[in-house]
Amino acid sequence: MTRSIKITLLVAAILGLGCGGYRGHQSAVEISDSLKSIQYSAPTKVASDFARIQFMRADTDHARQAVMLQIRLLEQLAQAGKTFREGGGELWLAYIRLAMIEEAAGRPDAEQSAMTQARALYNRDHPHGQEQTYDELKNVILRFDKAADNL
Amino acid sequence: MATVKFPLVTGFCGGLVIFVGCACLGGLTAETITFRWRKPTTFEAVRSQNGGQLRDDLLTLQAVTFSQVREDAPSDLQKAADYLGTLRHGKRPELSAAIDLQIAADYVEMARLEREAGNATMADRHRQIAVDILHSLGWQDISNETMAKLTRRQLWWKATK
Repeated sequence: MTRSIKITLLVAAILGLGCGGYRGHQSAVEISDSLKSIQYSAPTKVASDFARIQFMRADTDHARQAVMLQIRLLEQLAQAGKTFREGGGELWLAYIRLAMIEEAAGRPDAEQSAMTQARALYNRDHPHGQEQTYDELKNVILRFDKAADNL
Repeated sequence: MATVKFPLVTGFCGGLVIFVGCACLGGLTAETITFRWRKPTTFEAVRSQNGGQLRDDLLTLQAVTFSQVREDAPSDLQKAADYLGTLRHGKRPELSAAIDLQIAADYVEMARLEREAGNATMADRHRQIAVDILHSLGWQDISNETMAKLTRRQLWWKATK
């Protein structure tokens, strides 16, 4: 093999590694940036589904436990500045669920407290929206759960 | 020194093959190293939040998500259920309850697959495990319909893959 061919092959190898390495690095940066921005959606979805299913099927104690898991998770994420639109929007729904659970458990004070939180969060998320009554907000949950249950 | 018949053609073709090969190798290596270095799905940003509890919760719930996208075969589902079973140890009750619901869903699906395959005994055994778990989760109506709804969404997701 001539010296010039050896040099050609060596240069081709170096160029190939350089170009491939650059493209690979760029692609990994793009993918990891996308994953970083959506990584919180999967765990919050699991917590949300768990709360919804337990709210529909379980007794009040277990349903409360599940809804509280979702509420704590979303509130801690909000404190950490990791709230995204869907996650933030689900917090008032979770508080309405909690109010409905407390209503079913016969704890009016806890129901009122959860409802107040739900209203405050709803008004924050819908600043130009119409004021909703408790029954209207409950209907939102019931319609949402029925639709999800019939998927 | 050995002589080459067509040095220009050999140099060009050999160079091209080596360039493409090295580009693929370099690309894969750089991608792997960058991905591991940046750790995009390990919730590093909230590592210190609530003494690491928030990150631990997120990782646990993420593991439940990964379990939901497993292959729809009894052996894979059993592995997923076993893994989640080990994961739930030492977790807070509300978090282990969320894991339990996924384990129950896995057993419901295993029961369905075993019944379709004609293994009625195994199907009944898996169904009973699911019923026991759902009972411990406070379910009031444990019927075939409510149990089937537990896995419907996952099946729909898998079908669209």
